[in-house]
Amino acid sequence: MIKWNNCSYAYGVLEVIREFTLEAGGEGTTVLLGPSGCGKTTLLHLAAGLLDPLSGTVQRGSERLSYLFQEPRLLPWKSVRENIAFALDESMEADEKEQRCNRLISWVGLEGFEEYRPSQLSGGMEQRCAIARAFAPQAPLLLMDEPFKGLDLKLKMPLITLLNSLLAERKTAAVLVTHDVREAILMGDRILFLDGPPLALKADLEGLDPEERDTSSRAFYDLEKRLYSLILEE
Amino acid sequence: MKDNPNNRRTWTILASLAVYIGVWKIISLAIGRSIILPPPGEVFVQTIRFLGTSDAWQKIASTSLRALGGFSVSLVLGFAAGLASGKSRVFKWFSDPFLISIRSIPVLSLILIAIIWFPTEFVPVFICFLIAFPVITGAVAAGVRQVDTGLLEMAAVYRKSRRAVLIDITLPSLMPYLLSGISTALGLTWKSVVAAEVLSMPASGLGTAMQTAQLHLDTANLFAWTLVVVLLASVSEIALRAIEKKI
Repeated sequence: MIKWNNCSYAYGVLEVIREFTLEAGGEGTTVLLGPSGCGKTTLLHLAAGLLDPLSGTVQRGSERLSYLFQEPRLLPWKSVRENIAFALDESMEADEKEQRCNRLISWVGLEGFEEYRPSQLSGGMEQRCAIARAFAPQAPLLLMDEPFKGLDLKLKMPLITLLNSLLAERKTAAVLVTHDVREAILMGDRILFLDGPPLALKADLEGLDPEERDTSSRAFYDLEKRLYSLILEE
Repeated sequence: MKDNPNNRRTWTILASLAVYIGVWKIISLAIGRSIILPPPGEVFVQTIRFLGTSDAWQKIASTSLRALGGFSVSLVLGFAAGLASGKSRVFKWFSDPFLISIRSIPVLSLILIAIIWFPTEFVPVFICFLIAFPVITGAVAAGVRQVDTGLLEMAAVYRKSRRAVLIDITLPSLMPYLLSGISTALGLTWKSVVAAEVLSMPASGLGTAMQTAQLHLDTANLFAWTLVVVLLASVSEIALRAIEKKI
């Protein structure tokens, strides 16, 4: 769980977030959907402690959290296995590290590529490695900042399915920041529609039906239409 | 075989050396006085003759030890200062005046001052340190400043220790900068050590040998000793490239 209490943040004179209060990441996946530049990534950076609010406070249910960035942010000089192990506790036994890494590698389907360097992987494989790393520390909350940006649909869909199943299996709560309506529907249990700057909550769609994640269903189409109309209203 | 780029490179380098030596030979023949410009053959024979004597190897060892001493100290201190300068702006502001003034003072002034301050044996070591230290510091500081902030943010999210960040992120990303700094500093090391030896004249050293040859107007010897220094610098550069490849 993350709670932003009366948070404000500005880049120079541009006030991106003004006295904003919100609670997210309780259970399932909360999507922060909004146009580029509205301040949603800043909100996520405040949640992760990468930025400190100029005023207000951020409360975290647990200090341990994981983060999937827009880019995979892998260490170019380390192998797939070493990159995943990087997120593990430094005090962990080598054997346990090895086992944990092997499990994660098989979950994300990177068997056979353990010793590859990031430069030898495709974009989709790099993001799979980043996903494995994000699940390595077994943090109760995963923050995701447009992790599918720059990936085409063919790469994106299997990654969304993978993430959804990993989040469900490991009962990990998540907050996803995106400007993509389809990504929001495919991953969100709750969709918060944001606008800005300064950041403002325009709509809170809670208790979404899993059936709505089926792209061929009527429910998906209806929700997509509803979200687009919210965007076009602005 | 003809199209192999490595072969073409080797042949081009050999051809270029042949042209240089040819031009040298022609000019030396035109001048006709070995005391002004000895022919290449004479210099090569002299160099080989030197390399067959224990006296020459003692000189090579003395100069190499001085170079190694000055260079190692600059590497260790320059690395530490570079890390500090890259991480802390205050340290950079504090150290910049010293580093900039060292860079702009003529090397000969530094040598002359060092001769007043230190025993002759130590002057080349000190000069080598003064010349190489700012180069290493600058390279390491530039390397630290360009470390990908995205990777540092990632490490912060996973609560990595400062030690882990240094070993797994900072050091590997500044390695190319450090190696290029070492390469530049290594070239300067040989030049500065020999220059300091020429002026301070320690009991044994290649610079001392050059100065003696010059005083005796023994130009062929002067050229031969110079060639030895060039060979030493080349060997150290090749060794560095080999290390670079391994990394």
